[in-house]
Amino acid sequence: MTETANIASALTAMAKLRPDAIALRVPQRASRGSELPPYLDISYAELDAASDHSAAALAHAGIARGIKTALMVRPGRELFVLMFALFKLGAVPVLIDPGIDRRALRQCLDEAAPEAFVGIALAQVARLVLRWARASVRIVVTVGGPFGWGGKRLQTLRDAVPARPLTAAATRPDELAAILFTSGSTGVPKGVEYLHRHFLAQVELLREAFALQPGHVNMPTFPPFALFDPALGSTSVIPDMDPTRPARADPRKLVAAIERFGVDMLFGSPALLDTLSRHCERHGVRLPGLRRVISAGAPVAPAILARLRPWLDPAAEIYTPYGATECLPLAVIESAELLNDTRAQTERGAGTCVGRPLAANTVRIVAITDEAIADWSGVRELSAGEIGEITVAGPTTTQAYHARPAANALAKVRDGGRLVHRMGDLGYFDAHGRLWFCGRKSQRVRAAGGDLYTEQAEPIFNAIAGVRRSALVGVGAAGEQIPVLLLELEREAGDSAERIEAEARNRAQAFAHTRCIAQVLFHPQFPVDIRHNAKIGREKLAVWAATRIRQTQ
Amino acid sequence: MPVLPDYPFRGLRFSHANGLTQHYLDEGARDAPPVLMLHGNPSWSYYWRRLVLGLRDNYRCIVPDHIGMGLSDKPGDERYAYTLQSRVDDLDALVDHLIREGAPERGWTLAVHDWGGMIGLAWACRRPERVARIVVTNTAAFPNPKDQRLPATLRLGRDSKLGEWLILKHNAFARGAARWGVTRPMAPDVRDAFLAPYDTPENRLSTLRFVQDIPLAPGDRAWDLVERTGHELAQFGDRPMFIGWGLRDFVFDKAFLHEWRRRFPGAEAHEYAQAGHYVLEDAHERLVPAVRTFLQRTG
Repeated sequence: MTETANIASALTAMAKLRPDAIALRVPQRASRGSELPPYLDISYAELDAASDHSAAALAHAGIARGIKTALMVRPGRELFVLMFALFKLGAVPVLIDPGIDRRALRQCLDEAAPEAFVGIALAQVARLVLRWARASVRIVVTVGGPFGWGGKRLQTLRDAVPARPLTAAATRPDELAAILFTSGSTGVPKGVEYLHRHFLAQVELLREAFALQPGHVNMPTFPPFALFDPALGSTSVIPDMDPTRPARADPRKLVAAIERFGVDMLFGSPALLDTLSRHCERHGVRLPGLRRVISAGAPVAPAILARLRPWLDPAAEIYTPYGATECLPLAVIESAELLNDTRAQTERGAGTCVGRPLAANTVRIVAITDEAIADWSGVRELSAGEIGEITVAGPTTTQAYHARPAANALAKVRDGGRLVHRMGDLGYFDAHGRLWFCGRKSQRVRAAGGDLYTEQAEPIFNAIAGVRRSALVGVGAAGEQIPVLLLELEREAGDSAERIEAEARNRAQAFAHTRCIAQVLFHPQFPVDIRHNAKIGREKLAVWAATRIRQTQ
Repeated sequence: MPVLPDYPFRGLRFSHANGLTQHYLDEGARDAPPVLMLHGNPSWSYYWRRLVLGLRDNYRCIVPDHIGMGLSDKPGDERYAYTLQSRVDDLDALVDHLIREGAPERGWTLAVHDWGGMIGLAWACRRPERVARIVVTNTAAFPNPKDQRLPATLRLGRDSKLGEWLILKHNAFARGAARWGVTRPMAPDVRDAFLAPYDTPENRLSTLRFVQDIPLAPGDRAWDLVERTGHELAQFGDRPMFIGWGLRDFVFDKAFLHEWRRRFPGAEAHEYAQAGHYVLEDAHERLVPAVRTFLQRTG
């Protein structure tokens, strides 16, 4: 018998073990004001049965094992039900982060070339109007609403098939399970191919890294993570918020839901944690029940962790995992170590400590190159203390981007029987085996005196009072770029620009690796990704800086 | 009977030797560990519905309605002595019956609320070998730790003709509890379900007799049993105990909670700052999973 692996089996197993335990609590509707809306509870047995029924309905529409299926529904009951339904069929959900740019979205869909498109009416209208995936889609299923939008209504399909238990497709560990597009910091997002074994390993690694046991109550404010909760046996409490705008979530509702449902674990992007921590600080709101806070999606500023810390139980832990859609989680660090130890070094230009790699991952640093490396024999491995590109090989390291051979060549290295992923991030190991992140490889500044790395410079200036954020960019040709420091000020700091500039120049002189920064410019508002409000568009800033410098010369 | 939200159960009836029949829920697998849930006054098995729904996949939930309450027979004073002692006897007879029908003799989890605590723990003291774990919510099993003080509203019901009239004629006790026992107002259909068994003055007799049976001093009918139970309670110190308490309860207030914690320092205690007397209504989202986790941890 060949080995099979299907993440949906974990749900079925949980439903057998604890059928009446609550898998999901979802808002029945969005509420206005700060009151919690009424919630709907969905047990493991119901979720399992509903996904069985939906699997049968989708199969009735022609969706079968191996069929790529774009899935566009809002986080909530249907998202969970349909994700697991697709996994049970062995179909391949194509998930696109709703936070990404519209135009990029069309390109993603063209590239993924889904044969089926399952989405809410709004997504179907967009598909028709914006001609998404026109060449490939032949099966359309509309979730909710009175119309099919060129396909079948999910409800009609459900009514046409009996609800009965279904055995998940016997997918192989190496079979394609899903294609995930997340907002990249540069260029059009690439579809990451997840195999079934990757999801299973990810659940294991999350369980291990955060010591998760069944019975936890998790509030995932960052949708992709929520999908694993049912496999982990925890209860997911879906917050009443727009997941694409975490910074605008109403913290009163978050706090009320945490309190009412006994949420002990919060998965949040830095933008959401920022909003929540400011609310706690302003109103003196304690969150004693939260035992674990896990930030995800983008690097979280130490200031946010420091602001949140006092409002949690002293024994609560805040983790910042490091990784990317291509490999998650790679390493993890707890806030105590970060705040008490590494933060000070970060503010002196050491880079940002992202913790120790999980035991399952082999993490190695290799000499920087922008070229493809076909085989590990072509790699120059660096030792502790030397800055290079971070590479990883492990059970959750994905093998390929979907339909992107050029990107695959640049990101994957064959190493004997396995593939190593190049993170595109720069970093080094310290003497304690901790990994430090120094910036994106593509965003390094290539000055005449040598390369500068964004994460080794910006934190020095971010620590100046009045600076909201900073960005280091290079202007000119590679190898002779002028390092330019851009500063965005806090709103109330506008009139202290002179002091801040002097302070910035002082600090630049204080460290060997920033001494060559000669130009300091103020920028009114950095371009950032709308999803996390955190990833700085340094490419755009470099163009802006170049224009500014030309004008003043 | 109106529609009872979240009460999709088919109750059973047990006939006592005196001819009265008692309604009880028996949900979950026959061979699963039994959890005996005892309501107080003026609620009924409806109060436990969410815990039953949340446990019945792994546990056998036995939830009686005391005589005169819920869906049990509601006899007049001439047919039934509405006393604590009668309640304990009824419970003992019911459990005996279930054991004869195949339920285990040992390993029972006792979950109690309000006056159900007094009934349940008095029974437990009679049959200590049967009880493996105790789940305590806004209740007592000992004399009032604040000496003989009762809130004025309860004193009115207990000691005056006016109170008697209000309770029998106007269902004051059940209505008041449904209103003041929670901090999150009940949905109208839920409140109707709570009140449904107490639709006529005859059907409200038990809610009155219950209040009148609250012992305040030696000489009161239930005093000896309450005091004896309080003394014998310590024997359960070796058994896992879970305390789930709504802090906004003006009857079973913090003094009662502290008394439980003083007597059972090893208990796993959960306090719900925003919840009232009907803690399972106000904080079920946290309480039900917490009880479940407790049962699994100590199972």
